[in-house]
Amino acid sequence: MTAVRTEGLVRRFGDRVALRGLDLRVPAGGIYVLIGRNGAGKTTTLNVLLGLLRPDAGAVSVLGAEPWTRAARVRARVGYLPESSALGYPWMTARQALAFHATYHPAWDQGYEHSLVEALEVPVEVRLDQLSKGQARGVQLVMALAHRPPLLLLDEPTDGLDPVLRDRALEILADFAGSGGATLLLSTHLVHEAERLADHVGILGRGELVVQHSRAELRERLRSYRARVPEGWPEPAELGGRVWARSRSTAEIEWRVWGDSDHVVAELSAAGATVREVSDLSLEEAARTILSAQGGRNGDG
Amino acid sequence: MGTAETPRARSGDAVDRRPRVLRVLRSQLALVGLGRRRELLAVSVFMGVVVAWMLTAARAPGPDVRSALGTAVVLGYLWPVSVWEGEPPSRRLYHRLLPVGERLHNLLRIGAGGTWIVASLAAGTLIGMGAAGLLGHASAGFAPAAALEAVGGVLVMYGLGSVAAVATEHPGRWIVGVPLVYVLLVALLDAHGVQPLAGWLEAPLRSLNRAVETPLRTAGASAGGSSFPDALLLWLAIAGAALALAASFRPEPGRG
Repeated sequence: MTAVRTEGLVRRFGDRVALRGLDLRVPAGGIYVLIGRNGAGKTTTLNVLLGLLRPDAGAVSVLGAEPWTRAARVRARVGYLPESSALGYPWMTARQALAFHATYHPAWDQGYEHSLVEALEVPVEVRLDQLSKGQARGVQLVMALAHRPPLLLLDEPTDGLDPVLRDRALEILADFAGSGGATLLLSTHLVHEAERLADHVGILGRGELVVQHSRAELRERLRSYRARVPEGWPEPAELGGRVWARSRSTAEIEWRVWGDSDHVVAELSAAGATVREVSDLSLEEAARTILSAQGGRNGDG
Repeated sequence: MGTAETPRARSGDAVDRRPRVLRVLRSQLALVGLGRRRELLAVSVFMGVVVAWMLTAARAPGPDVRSALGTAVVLGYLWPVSVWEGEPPSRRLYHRLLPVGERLHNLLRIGAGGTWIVASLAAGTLIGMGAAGLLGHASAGFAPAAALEAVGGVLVMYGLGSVAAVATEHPGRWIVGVPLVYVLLVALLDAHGVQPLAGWLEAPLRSLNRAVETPLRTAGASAGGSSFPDALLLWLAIAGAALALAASFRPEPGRG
C-alpha cells in the first residue's frame, strides 16, 4: 500500500523543467528519504504533494486524495515542515503561534505538543521573529507533529538545529514513525543524518528519480568491490552498464557496481581479477556515487 | 523522549477533521485584531481627531462632516495593505498551508479585516463626536440608514483595495497607482478635448463617488429619495464579485 504516489509527474517553471515524469512510490508506514542535490526538484515535489503547485502533467495521490483539487483535505492529513522558516506570524510568541495553529487542527494533541515543546526546548514566550533559526525549526516541528498526522512531509528537517537538538529531532521522528500508522517523506541533502531513519530511498537528479528502492535492497545491490588485476587487464564488458563508479590505484581497482554481489564477484574472477574485498556502502556513499554518475547516465534502479 | 510517550498517528475519521468556519473566522479576527492593534488604534485616533476637528471648526454638520467621513473611505481603501502585510501571494505559504479551502480562507481574512476597520472607524467617529460634544459642538448624529450606507461605502473601498492586496505582489502600488493613472488619464483626455471618451471613463468614478459619498453628505438626515442606494448596491456587488475572483487566485509559492 502506498501513502504517496505520483505517475509521470511533470512540472515546469517557464522553460525550465523541474520535474520530468516523476514516478514516486512512498510505501505506507515507513520512512522514505528523498535525496538530491540542490535544485534537483525535492521542494517542488513536496509543493505538488501539498497542492501548492499544480502539476503540468501526470497523476498525484496523497493518502488517496488528489492534492490540487482536495488541498484542504490533504493538508488536514499532513504535517509539513518547509525548508524556509515561514510558519506562523512573526509578531506572535511561540505559544501564541502554536495555539493559533492548533485552532486549525481539531485533532491537535495538547499533551503531545507539551512533550515536544519540552524535548525540543522551545522557548514559548519568545516572539517568532526573535527566535534563532534552530528554535524556529523546533516550533515548526511541533506544528508539523502535534496533530499526529498520518503523513509527514519534511523538507530538510534538521536544518538549523544544533547537534544535540538535531539528534533529538531525529529521535522524535523515528519514535513517531515507529509508534505506528505514520509515513514520513523526508527530503534532504544531508544524507548522513537520514542514514539511521531511512526505510526507503529515492535519489532525485534533475527532476527524475534515478533510483528508488528499499534501504536494504539498495545496500544489497550497490556495493563496493576491490580487486587486484594483472597489467593491461580488460574490464569484463558485461560489467560496463552496471558500474556507477570506478577508481584505480597502481594494481588495484575499486568498482561500485549495481547487481547481485555473487554474480559480480564471479564475473570479475572469471575475467582474471582477484577480488580482495566486497563492502557495503553507507547511504551517503551510495547517494554520492549515484548522483556523481548521474550526470552521464541513468541507472537501471 | 522515548517511544512510550510517543502517540500513534491519528487514523479513521480523526484524520479528516477540519476546523469549522466560525472557528476559522474567530482565529482570523484574533489574527488581524492582535497583529494590527497599533494600526487599528491609530485609525481610531486619527478618525476621532478628524471628526472632532471638523465638528468644532464647522460648528455644524454638513459638508465638513462629509469630508471627515471621506477620510474613513480613504482609510478603508488603504487598510487591506495592512491586513495582508508581509503576505504577498508568493509569501503566503503559512496561510495557504492551513487546512481550509483557499478561497474561503482568503475571504474569511478579508471579512475579519473589514470587521475591524469598520469597528475602528466607528469607534473613532463616536469618540470624535463625543469630544466635540464635550466642547459644546454637538453634532446632529447619524440616521441609522445613513450610518449603514456610510459603512457600505467604506466596505466598497475596502473590498476594492482587498482585491489588490489578495492578488498582487505589490498592493500598495496598485492601490495608489490605479486611481492615479485613472485620474491622470481622464484629465489628459479632458485637456485635449476628447470629452466623450473622458466622460465615458468618468462614469464609473461618478457612480463610485455617488455610492460612497452621497450617504456621507446626508449624514444626520434620512437618505430617502436619493438614487445612491442603487449605486452603492451596484458597487458592493462589483467589489464582492472582484473579491470572489481574487480570492480564488492560487499563487505559486516563491522559489529561493
